Amino acid sequence: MKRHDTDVVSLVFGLLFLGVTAMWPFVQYDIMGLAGLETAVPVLLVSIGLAGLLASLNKLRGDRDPEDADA
Amino acid sequence: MSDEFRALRRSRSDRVVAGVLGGLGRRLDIDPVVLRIVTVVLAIFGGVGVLLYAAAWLLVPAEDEDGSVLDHALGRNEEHRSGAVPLAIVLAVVSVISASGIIAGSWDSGVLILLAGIGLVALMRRRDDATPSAEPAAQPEQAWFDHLGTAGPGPVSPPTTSAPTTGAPPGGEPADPSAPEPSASGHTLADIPATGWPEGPDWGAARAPAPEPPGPAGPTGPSAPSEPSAPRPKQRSVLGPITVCLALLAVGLLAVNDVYWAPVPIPMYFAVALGVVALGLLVGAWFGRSRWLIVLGILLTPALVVTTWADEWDFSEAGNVSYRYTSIDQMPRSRVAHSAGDITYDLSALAMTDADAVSLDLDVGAGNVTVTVPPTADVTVNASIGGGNYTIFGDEFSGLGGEVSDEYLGPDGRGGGEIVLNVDLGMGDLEVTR
Repeated sequence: MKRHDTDVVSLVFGLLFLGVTAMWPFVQYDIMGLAGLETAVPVLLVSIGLAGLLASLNKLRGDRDPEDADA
Repeated sequence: MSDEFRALRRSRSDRVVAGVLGGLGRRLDIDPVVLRIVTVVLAIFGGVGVLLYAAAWLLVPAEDEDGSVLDHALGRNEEHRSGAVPLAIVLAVVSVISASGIIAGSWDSGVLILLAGIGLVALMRRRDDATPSAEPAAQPEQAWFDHLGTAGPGPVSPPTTSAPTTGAPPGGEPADPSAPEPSASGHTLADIPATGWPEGPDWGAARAPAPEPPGPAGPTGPSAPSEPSAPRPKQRSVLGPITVCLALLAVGLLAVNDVYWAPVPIPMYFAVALGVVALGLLVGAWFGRSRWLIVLGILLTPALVVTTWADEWDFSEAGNVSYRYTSIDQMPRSRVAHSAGDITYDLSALAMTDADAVSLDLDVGAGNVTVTVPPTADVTVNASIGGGNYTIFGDEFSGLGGEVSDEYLGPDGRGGGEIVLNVDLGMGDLEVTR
């Protein structure tokens, strides 16, 4: 499979689902109660949002720069 | 009877998943809707429906094909189609899982079958999308390239899934040789009838005014074609099917582990599947294409949340309960969990001296909790309510995320015993009175 330009949609949802999966054992085994979840969920959403935003901006810059777009 | 069976075809036009029931309904002269309802019911109760459907999809050829998916995957027909292999693997895995699920007959296997079904439907949706749009587009393109003599092995490329390994080179590469010689196009058009393309004249007519249809390769210019033609093979990426297969595999192995070694909590099935889907999506951010996995993830996430929540409680003991304690010795020493129902703790007659201190820890999934304390006791309430109302000696709150952590002295000030009340209530009303 050839490497292609970052697909931001896949990236964002992949991170989101991975984050949910990663949080699950902490909730299931009572390591992090609901109170911990109240912190973890916003942190997850904000960091994924930032990651998606950065990836989009990067892509936008790449599109404007013809050399990047070719690569 | 066997002839009758052999004549069975999956319907192309009347289909929800793969047209199995549409074809069967036409054959038997029964409204396919009836068959669909029966299959869904069979799928929910025991999973037989999924097994039969997957088997029929595997074995019954589609209307316009002479071999079944299995035939194509095994190369039993004239041509071996690599595109059929992942589908055949998925269907076979679904069949095996649902068959073992039916044998095991447990609740877990129901979950497995459901997962397998979700995977199948997602796969089918993708194929559905690919077939109508890619088929007409790919055919002319193929002919176009064939005709230019640039793509010898062209005709093998199937317009369906995951052909990139075999299908991509004929679809993608030839674009380059064909493009740099636009002058050749006029020349070749004249040859079309000679090469036995009956559509020749139509072709010419269609091409001249609207040069786009044959694909972005031809007319856009000598340098452009390689770029727009690139996304085409990506849409037939194997990444999605591979991810689904891996997820099924992981869930299947987990089920084996569950049965033979250590029992695993039910939400773990969803967590593992979601994790694999997440990894597939992340790979898809840079390699291949697997956006449709998002649908799977969106289905799995609430399933994970709900089963995790449900796993915390033993619903077998759900119901309305009430307890009355008159001495401290009767009080429960450890945390008490109630799944659902109206829960009443009557401590109003609890005999306490000033020096006595007790605590009551309640963990309630959903329901109304009422605690009555002795008239003079000092009460410390630590409560957390996901959604609902609380009334604690007149303090009221309603809404989501109610949190209390407060000490309420009796009418006599300090004295009369001390009660610590820790309540964790998912959904419902909490009332603490004297």
